[in-house]
Amino acid sequence: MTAFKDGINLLYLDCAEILQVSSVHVNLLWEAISRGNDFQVKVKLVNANDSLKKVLKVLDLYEYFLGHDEDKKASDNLSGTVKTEVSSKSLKLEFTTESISVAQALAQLKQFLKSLNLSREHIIEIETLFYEVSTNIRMHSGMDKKEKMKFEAVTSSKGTIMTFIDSGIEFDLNKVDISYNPIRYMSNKSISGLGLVMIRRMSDNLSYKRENNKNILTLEKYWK
Amino acid sequence: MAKEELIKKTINDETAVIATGKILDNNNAFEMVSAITELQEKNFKYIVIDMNNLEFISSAGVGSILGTVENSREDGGDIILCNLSQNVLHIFEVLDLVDFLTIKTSNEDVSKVCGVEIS
Repeated sequence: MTAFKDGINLLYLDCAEILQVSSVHVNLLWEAISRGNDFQVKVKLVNANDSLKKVLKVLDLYEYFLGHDEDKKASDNLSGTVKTEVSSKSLKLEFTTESISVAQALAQLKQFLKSLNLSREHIIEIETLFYEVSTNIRMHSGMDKKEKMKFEAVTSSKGTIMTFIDSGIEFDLNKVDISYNPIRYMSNKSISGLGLVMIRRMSDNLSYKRENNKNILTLEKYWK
Repeated sequence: MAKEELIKKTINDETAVIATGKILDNNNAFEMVSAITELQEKNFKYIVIDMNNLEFISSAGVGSILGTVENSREDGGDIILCNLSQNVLHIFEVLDLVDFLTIKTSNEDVSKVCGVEIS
């Protein structure tokens, strides 16, 4: 609560780590409101999961803590190299192609997936797809490390659709050799080239287009 | 992702264990290849990769094992993977590798292959 004494008028509390809401959390929020009032500081929450939102609604605190626009802006401000927009069914990320940014973006994705009721296999495949595609862009797109790529995940009754947009060099999916034989792979003693195999095998549908000098890769993962 | 240390342990003249951290990806796959190759050059027949702590493995991580396993087999040994979580095992399943790699669920099962107790 020492933040209130530093002359600020708006305080964002990152709730990403609150997975299950307990009375301790609620007490802390009350404390935050109370102290905020004392110091004329408005308190906003970001990265609140669905269960926390439900509790806030029951306590009639939802509007106070979580106006949608404020939530979005706060999330943008907090996420550093990763810009985040999140709703109950979708996640948008914008991040540089540095290794650390990809890791931070993956952490955001994990958090988003945690809030959905998905199977363990669906989650691990989406996380792996994200990592493999982002790493491929990071290593092979020719983009400057400070340039940003975009990612969006949308869940629906059908499954999850992931879209990756980057301004790297154009590529032709059809020219990528994805023939794969485990025995031959081991015999060749090759240690690379498995990323695209994994992307192909984990995606139920994959499409690519080039628009406005940008690569747009869309992967679909259906519920099993 | 942050670089994770690999922990190497010698069991006897023939068997050594490499314990992974939480992540095996592009950042440390080359280290895994180096660690395995070094043990192979020192004539360790069995190299056990203990994945007990491993939470995430990327294609580069899988490649680091796949690309080195034949060297051990050519010398009559093997690379043995053990203590895989369901998530890590799933990645090997997706790549149809479960039937081609030696994967054991416990140290006891590993001991049966190496003929020496792994603790």
